[in-house]
Amino acid sequence: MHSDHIAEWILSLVTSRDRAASIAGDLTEGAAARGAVWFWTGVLRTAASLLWRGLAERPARVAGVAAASLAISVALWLLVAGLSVVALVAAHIKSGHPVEVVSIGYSIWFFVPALLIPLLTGRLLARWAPGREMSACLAYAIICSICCFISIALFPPGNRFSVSVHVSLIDAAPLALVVAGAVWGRHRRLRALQV
Amino acid sequence: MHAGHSLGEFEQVVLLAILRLGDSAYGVTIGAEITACTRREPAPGALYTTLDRLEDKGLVSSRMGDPTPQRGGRAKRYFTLTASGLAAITRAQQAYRRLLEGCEIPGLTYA
Repeated sequence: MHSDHIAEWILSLVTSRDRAASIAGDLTEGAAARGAVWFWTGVLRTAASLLWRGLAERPARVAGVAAASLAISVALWLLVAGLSVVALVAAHIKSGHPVEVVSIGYSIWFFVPALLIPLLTGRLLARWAPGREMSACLAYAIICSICCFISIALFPPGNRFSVSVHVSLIDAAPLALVVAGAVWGRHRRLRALQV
Repeated sequence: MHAGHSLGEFEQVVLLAILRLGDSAYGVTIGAEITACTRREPAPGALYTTLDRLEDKGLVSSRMGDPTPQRGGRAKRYFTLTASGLAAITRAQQAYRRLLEGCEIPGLTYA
């Protein structure tokens, strides 16, 4: 994959494919005289501007989608945590001694939702904000950060409750997986439109 | 008061550049025309978001040209002013003209 194809792919995440191709073409044409640094600066600045535009044009709608996705993500994590507690208590009652929580089974039990919940969140963002998937991811990241700051302010470290709140929010915020889910959803939508 | 789109300064600059370029207005030439006329190079991000916004407002329309090898086989996107784009830039420039009338600005000859 050539660098201009990578640039076109990056731009296609924040605008339509034909617009991304024409912008990448313009930047490629300009880069012949100005060099690679100008090209990549242009790609990143254009992508950032288009990303911000997607959020700034409909802030309430995009923020609402992000907040709803975050709420679902946190709810799923609380469900996983609740089921874990039930399973641990049941195992404790059955065996009659404390259960070892650092086990392979326990790790897998948490690894699978740690992978699936952010991907699902990204897919939700893509489904609810078609055409503005990356802007919805940006709004999601901003709302996650605000929630983390508020939770730290309300439940300072040392409080037992604060641990569960922080873990729920932090586990809900592996942004790379959320973005991967949103990109996946966007590609599926565009492929369906082509068919 | 006129109903319709109010234009920001950079939107007016972009519309005027498209108007000057006629049929050859696409991203690279629009940027070069703005640089030549204003002596300020527009940031690519600002230029493309403004072009998108103007197109969404219906002030410009675009068509795809033929792919060229120096652009990695990608087509140029040519822009032209629509009737409402022309009306919007006319209104904005008339407002500037009314503001300039009677002003004595050193170095500016107003006819």
